[in-house]
Amino acid sequence: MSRGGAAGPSDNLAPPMAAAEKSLDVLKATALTKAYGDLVALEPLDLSVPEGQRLVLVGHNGSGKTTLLRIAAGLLEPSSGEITIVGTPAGSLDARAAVSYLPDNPVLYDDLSVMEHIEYVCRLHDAEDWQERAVGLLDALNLTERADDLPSRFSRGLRQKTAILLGLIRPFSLLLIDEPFVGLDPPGRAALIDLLDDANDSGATVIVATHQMDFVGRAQRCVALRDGAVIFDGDPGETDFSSLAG
Amino acid sequence: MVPAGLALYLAALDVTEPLAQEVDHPDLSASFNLPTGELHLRQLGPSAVLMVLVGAFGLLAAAVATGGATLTWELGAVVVVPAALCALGAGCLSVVKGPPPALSTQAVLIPEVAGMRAVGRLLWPPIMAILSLLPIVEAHSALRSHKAPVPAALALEQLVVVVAVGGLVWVRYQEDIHRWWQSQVEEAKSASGRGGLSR
Repeated sequence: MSRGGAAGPSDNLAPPMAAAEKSLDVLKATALTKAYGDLVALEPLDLSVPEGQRLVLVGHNGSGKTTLLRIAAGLLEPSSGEITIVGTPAGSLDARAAVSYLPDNPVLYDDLSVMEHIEYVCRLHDAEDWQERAVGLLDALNLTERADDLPSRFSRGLRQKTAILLGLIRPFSLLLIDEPFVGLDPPGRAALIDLLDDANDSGATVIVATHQMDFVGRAQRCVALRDGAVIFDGDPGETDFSSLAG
Repeated sequence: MVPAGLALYLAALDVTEPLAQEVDHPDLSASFNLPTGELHLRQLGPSAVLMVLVGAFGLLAAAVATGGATLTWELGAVVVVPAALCALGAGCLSVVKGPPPALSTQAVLIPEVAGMRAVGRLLWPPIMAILSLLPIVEAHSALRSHKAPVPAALALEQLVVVVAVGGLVWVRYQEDIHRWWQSQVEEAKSASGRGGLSR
């Protein structure tokens, strides 16, 4: 996978790519369904996401966005159908290596500082040059002053920024990110959009579930879900999403 | 032996806090590209060192109480490390196993059986920690029968080592075992469903 983008400061922030075969759909779901008892969260869903695409998932609350992302991240078993990440089943070790998933609710350890979180995640992923990239990401997210503090004492927005940092600093080919703008202030939102641009420019596929309409316009492709079914799949410019996004 | 075993168990629960944090954050564990069991096992290196230190303090206290008797040191050399690791295994068992899942095959058991299983799940780890000190009782018994105490303790120590290693192997592979068991249950269910339809 090539690392595109102009040389510059943002190059330091771009994640090293996890190994992925060329000309392969990074994510491929076939007849994927999920039901929680009688509640159908995903109707049979087919979705192929090629390498390097920036896709935005929109839909009302309960439309199945988070379920789809969690299944792709290997955190949830589908009821039927299959889903592969870079050609391997979601949840397998190869798929885990390729996917960086940021849940809507930041998940962080209670007694590790921001910097310790970074070191822990990077060492477990054998990330290279992580110290240098950590400095850049901390700066971009305005967390430099808080690097030695415990995120468990942070506000929602700062915890969100920490989780974003951890999701971006590890190697990945596919970034799955669920409602990333919740709790972020306007500078934080702008920084996140820049970081997503960097990740995408460096070759990563980015899938964002959001209600943030100004971000939808920046995507190459938009998939809208309603009651677990795809009701739109195409160019974001083709329709008005305000009624779809909830 | 019971208070000493319980104290070891409490120490094990304390030193397995990093493992507990990992267990409490399954979403994070599942994002690393290594098996969850291996990640859990990696957490136990420093915990094992701490547990051996706890055991060494116990040995020191025993040595002070016995005036530094040679037998205390000999017995300590045999008992401390396996007992510390066995208690660590007990702590891991307690941390990793957690409460019974809300929706499991246990849910269809009658309440009495489910209750017994829940109690067993709760009591087995401290019992395991207490059992790790049984070689000391065996040595004491051998001494009273005018037999060599250390070989007697060593004989029982092999069992403690097996239990300790078994505990750590379980931490590494329990997820795989659980997954295999679930697949067998699902297969059996679907097979019986097919049988029912054919009738």
